Amino acid sequence: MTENFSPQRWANTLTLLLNSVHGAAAERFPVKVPDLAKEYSRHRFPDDPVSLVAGDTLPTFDGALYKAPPGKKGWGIIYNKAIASPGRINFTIAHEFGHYLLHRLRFPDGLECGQQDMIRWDSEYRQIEAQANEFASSVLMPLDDFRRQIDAKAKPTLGDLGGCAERYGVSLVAATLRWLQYTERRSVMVVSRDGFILWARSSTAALRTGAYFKTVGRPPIPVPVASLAAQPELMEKSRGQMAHDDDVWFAEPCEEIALASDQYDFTISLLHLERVIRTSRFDEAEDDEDTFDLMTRRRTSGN
Amino acid sequence: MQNTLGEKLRRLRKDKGYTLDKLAELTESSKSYIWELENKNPPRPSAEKLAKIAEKLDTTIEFLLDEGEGVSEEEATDAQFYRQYRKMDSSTKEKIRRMVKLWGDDA
Repeated sequence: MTENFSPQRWANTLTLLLNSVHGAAAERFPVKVPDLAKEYSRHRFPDDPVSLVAGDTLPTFDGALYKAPPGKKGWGIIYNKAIASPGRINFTIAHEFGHYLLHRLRFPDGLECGQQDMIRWDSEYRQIEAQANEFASSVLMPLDDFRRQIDAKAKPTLGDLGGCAERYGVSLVAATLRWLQYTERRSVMVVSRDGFILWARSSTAALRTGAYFKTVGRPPIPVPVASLAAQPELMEKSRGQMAHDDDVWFAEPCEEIALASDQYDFTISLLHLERVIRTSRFDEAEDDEDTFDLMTRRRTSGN
Repeated sequence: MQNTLGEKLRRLRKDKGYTLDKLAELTESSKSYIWELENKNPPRPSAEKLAKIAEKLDTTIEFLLDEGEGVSEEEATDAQFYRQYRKMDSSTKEKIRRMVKLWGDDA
């Protein structure tokens, strides 16, 4: 039953289809979600397709999936075309298409999604919203292609990640979250406002070595006084870069690349940590990277 | 445009030109408590503190806590529009209603 497909499985199915249609041609990206939603659903679910994708200026609204009115068949995706960033629009449409594929039978009356969903990506999030985001992120930014843009071992700048955001037609935050899912580096993205952390996301390697911030259900965490996030006046054209000692973000040195977004009124700090945490036990190791790989392999295969 | 407590607080504070520190000082609250009210929508804010904040921002606690336009019975039965209904302003609701009714012919 296709209704039981996971977000990932739906995204993979569509990625394979798009790869076979476009190959490596330039028009492969960004994914044209409105066409994809309409054409794919018409073939796959001819009795229940996405029959409308329409945008208008709709303040206080992001997007929604609506059931067609009596007399028409299928579903409609309606979105706010006045959202300032085109990347947000693309993501919103893909998100609603995800609801169509994953949830339309469970929610026969449709689904509406509020503003700021991306900003609150990891907090108080209902499961279905997370699933629709996972679908959108996976179908818009397939990992095989993303890895070719930024190697899993590379240390990207916000400019590099911004280039990918442009390639995939998504926001910088969405592209950075996707990169954090596959990078082998220890990196953390921190989104802050007015001197406190709104939310943060760590790469797997960072998380495993204790470099993370928990914000849900906890008292607000202030950004470190010495960080760029706390000193917007040090940034030039809303951007900056700073090397920190072991007493700023973490009990180890890190590099902070920051971008203050006037549009959304928050600051993104991308923190790059060193490859390995040195512990006395491993100080003797000749090749840090291999030691770390060995540790992670033990951990993942051990159970 | 959204009507949550946090967004109203933040807008009113900025309109007054107050920093978090300043409003915290005026209302004898902690800076992190006000930040939490603005950004995390905590479930049960202290009425006493809110009253103080409302006073310093020249507004009322009723305005801060009011979730916006009420949902009329007729609208509430319209299940398609029920989710997050109160967060949308009425002209947006009306526009979407029309779009759904017309259901363009691009299918």
